[in-house]
Amino acid sequence: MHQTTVLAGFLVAAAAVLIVMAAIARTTTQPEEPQSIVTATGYRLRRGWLWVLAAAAAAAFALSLPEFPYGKPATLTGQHYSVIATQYSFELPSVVPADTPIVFDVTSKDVNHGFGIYDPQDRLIAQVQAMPQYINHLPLRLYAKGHYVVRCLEYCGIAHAAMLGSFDVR
Amino acid sequence: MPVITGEREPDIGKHHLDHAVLMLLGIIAGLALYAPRNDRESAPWLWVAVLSPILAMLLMAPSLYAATDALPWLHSLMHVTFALLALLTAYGGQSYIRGVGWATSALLQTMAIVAAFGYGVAPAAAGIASAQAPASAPIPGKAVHGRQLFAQNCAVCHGQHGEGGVGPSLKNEQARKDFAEVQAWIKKPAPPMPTLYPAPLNAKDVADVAAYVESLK
Amino acid sequence: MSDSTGARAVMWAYLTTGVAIFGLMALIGLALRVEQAQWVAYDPGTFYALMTLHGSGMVVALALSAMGGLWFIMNRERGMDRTIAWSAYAAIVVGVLCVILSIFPGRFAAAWTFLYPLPFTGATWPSWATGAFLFGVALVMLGWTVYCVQLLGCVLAKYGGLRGAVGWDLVFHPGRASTSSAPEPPPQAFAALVTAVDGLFAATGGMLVGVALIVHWIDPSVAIDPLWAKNLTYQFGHTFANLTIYMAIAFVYVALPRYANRKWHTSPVLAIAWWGTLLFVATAYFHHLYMDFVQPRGFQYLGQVASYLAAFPPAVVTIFGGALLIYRSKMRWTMGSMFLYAGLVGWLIGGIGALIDATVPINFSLHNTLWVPAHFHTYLLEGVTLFVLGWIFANLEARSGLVSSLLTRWIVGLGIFGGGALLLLGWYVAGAESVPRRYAVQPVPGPAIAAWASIGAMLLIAGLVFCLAEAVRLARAPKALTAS
Repeated sequence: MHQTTVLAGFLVAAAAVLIVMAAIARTTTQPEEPQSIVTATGYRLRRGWLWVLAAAAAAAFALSLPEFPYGKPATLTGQHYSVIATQYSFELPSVVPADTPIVFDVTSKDVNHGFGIYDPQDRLIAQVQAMPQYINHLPLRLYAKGHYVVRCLEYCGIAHAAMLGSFDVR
Repeated sequence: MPVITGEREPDIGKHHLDHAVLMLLGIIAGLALYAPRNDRESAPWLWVAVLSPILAMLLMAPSLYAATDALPWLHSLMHVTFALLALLTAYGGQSYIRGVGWATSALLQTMAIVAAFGYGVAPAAAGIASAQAPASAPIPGKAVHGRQLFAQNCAVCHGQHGEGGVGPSLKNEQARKDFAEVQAWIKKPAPPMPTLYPAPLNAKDVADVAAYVESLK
Repeated sequence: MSDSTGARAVMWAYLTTGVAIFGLMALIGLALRVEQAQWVAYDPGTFYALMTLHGSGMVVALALSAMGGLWFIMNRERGMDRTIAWSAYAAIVVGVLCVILSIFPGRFAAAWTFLYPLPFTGATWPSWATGAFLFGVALVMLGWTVYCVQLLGCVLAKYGGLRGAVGWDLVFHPGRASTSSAPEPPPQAFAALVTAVDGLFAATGGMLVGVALIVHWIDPSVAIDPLWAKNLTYQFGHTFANLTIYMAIAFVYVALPRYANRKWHTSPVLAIAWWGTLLFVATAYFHHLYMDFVQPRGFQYLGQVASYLAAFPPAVVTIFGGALLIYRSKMRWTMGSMFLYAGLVGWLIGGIGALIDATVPINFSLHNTLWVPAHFHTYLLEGVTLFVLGWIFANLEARSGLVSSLLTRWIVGLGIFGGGALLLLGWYVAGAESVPRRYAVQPVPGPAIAAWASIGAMLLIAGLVFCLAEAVRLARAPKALTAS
């Protein structure tokens, strides 16, 4: 999901929480109501709140499930490219084809690294961990042509922030 | 399940599971033994119940275990110890406050089983061929090791081939510093260069790296 | 020394030690953020050593504070052996000292995650520092285990075994529950039970990976599976850090009703909510491994399901319950109640940030960006820390009979909530801009955002300092006649 949308959604939700909780706090300046009266309505409201949350969670789950990045066996038949991470560089293909199913086979020679792909707008669009003794298969289809930067996304030592790579999509 | 044998179990994971079975027996015994109902906490029993699982995990260290292979009686003693520690874990917990023994037993048994999947057990290196071509020019023996160390510790700032980056270029460094001076610099650098000696580079490593640096053109 | 005085001594020892470590870690945090803002420069080795200390130290500081308060609360339910509490405290303090030594002067910089094989491979610090760090963390875990065992024993003995402590009859056999000889657990006892059980569960993973790493440190020929180690590291780390919130909730259960002059009842709903927490807190940790595609696929689904479900008990029962408790009540707003209520707000907001990141396709582009520290700092700083401060002030206000002036509360609030919000926003925005976490030198727009965040951090620390001064004022005041 587009990061800007996510951030906007979060800020709206956070603002809503602040407004509601502040409003509830303000009710303490109003005349007192016995707890039993408050809870009578409150517990009914709570049941409604539960159903709203449950529906939202179910919807989020249903909408997210098809977008899981792990790929099915069929998607792993794309063109394979090896990625080997070490302290502190990436061994990468220099060019990958655009708009084609590809699979990055990612591993590490030493410690855990993160293979983070940044598009030409410098936005993180895909990532997978690079773990020694294991190969993580990242199925992708890169539509936008251009220069992509790779950053290490798992703390791997004191030069972690300098660990860069890149490839072109043509 | 081999209990008294001098043969080495080739599969460490499976051996861990054998120990887990032994511990389960110890736990059952410990829980079954009468433990006085306690209204008052008994601190010594708490420590017994908490330290026994840790000791058991330490004793399960595969290399320590391998050392006992040569002596079957020691191997058997280890097995008995595991069962005993499990018994103490269970009985100790119950003696501290009745009911706690179940929790400490679950803790131990879980560790014993989960250990089979990674404690002394790991997959072989991932089979991805490196595309990097080996260097064409011959390099003196020490400097080969030095190049590896350089790649791990120095390349991040000085570049893969010493061409520079965050740190200065080291190409033709032999014109500026001789072998002894390079070693001295690595051992006592000025910031922002990090201190790499005595760790991760020992004296020999420093010499090898210096040999490699001196060979850079 | 009377029982009550002795128990208070335990509580204040845990609290003041936790607060002291917190203060030091806060300054270190500021040092990290201003380096990222490029206002000061120091080498990455130092940055990452400080980052390692900040992460481990902060979680332990908050855990210690919450542990102390919860122990005192449960001790009032059933007297507990003080020497056990003191030995747990000692183990943790010595562990913290070992960790500090590993970093100053050891310069251990593998981050709190000590993600195998990192503490060993490519280490720019001496081997003894690795050992000291691992040993220190092991000691902290030992203290934690002792504490959890004691807490578990307390609830089992007091409420009639596990059946009584979980409120089984309360939910399924109300008739039997009312005639049972064992007392009904108050809300805070549920917090204690879940802390103890899930705490021991976390200790299980921590102990196992800790022993394995220490053995490997002694004998590098012992192989360790990196995926196995990663699973255990996060099982222990996530659960332990998450439990600080659930410990601190006991403070809300006990103190907020007093301010609102109302009661927080145990009910079947509350019991069921805590059963949910018991289960979901223990299984949510898989959300740290979404980007390890080699994980069994089932674990990934379980991670998202458990993470979503973990939000229900807080959102529907505890936070909603807290809001309902104060709605149209005769609420006394003091520093203590302000913090307790604000902590509920921070917890909820942090939860939204967390749920977003716990959704796998979103995690795909947010994992290990600054969104991650964004959400956990929200929980810890504007959740747990506020609950702890609330508890401290609740006690000081009760003891002295004094409260803080409106002006003081505004100054402290502006600093802690306003400055805190600026600090947190910096991380959320930077994360959405794909700035990676744990970068000593951040790509654009990291440094510009870090500058604003640093201002927020300074305001936050200023607010905390005012808060500390006010706490000292209340503490030094003579004991009120009405105080117990």
